[in-house]
Amino acid sequence: MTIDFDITVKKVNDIAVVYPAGYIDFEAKEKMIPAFHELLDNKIKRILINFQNVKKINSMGISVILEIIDEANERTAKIRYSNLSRMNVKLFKMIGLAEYGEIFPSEEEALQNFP
Amino acid sequence: VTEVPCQEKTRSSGKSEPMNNEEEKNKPQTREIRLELPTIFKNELVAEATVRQIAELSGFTEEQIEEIETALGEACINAIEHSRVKEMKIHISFIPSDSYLSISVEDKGVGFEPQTVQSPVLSEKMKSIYKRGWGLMLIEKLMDEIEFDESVSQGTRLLMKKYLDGKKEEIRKEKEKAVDKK
Repeated sequence: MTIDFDITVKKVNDIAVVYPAGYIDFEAKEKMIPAFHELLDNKIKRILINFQNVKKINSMGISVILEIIDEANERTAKIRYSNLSRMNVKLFKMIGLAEYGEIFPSEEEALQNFP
Repeated sequence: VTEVPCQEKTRSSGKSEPMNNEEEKNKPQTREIRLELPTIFKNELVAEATVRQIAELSGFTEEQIEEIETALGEACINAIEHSRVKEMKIHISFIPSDSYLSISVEDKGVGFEPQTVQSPVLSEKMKSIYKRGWGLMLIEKLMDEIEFDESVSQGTRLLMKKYLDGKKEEIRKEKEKAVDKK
């Protein structure tokens, strides 16, 4: 697992697929928040976060994701998640994040079923 | 990392008596492993890597190992935050046994009152600017037992326990049987 955090974005029609990579902790905020702000500023209303390159998310990283969801809700954008590891699915369910966006096993399924 | 061989007390007196070879072979053993980490963020990953090895050797399932790793990482993050002084240390102790793994995480920082910590509610966190405060709740959900050692004079000492698959139920049944016999 890489420790350094990075984030890339790909457009699939009108859906932005975001690929965070590395360890999502408090340091990830520096790159994650501006990346999502840019998408929301560009009126993107459907965002899929593909976690395939994220092995670990700690509680500080969870708070960063909450900030993103909060911001997306305010701007009426929808967020969905895919490719979460078993442990990260468990974390999302424990915290209740699944109520704020459906979790899909793969990017393909998420793109096909994005409302 | 220091490994400290120690012997579990098998008698209430705690005195050790000579054993024959068979007794020696079967005597309950624990091996305490101690880890000392500087209070620097990301060192929680060192603790997680260490506990993964210990838990694998102890026979935990992969799913349980992931839970232990995550809980320990959160305990370390709390300790790093509570220490509030640079270059302090977190002291972690691992004691594997036949039934469970005990972990203690201690810092000598400013300490906190665990009873004052409210369990976070997502809908409230979404409305609030402060979105943190999930660590302790996650530790409670991921481990079988947790307790704060109130005898610590300075800082915080968190004790956590995870049972091997099925062992908690086995111990509970044994206790019930013992009570029935009485």
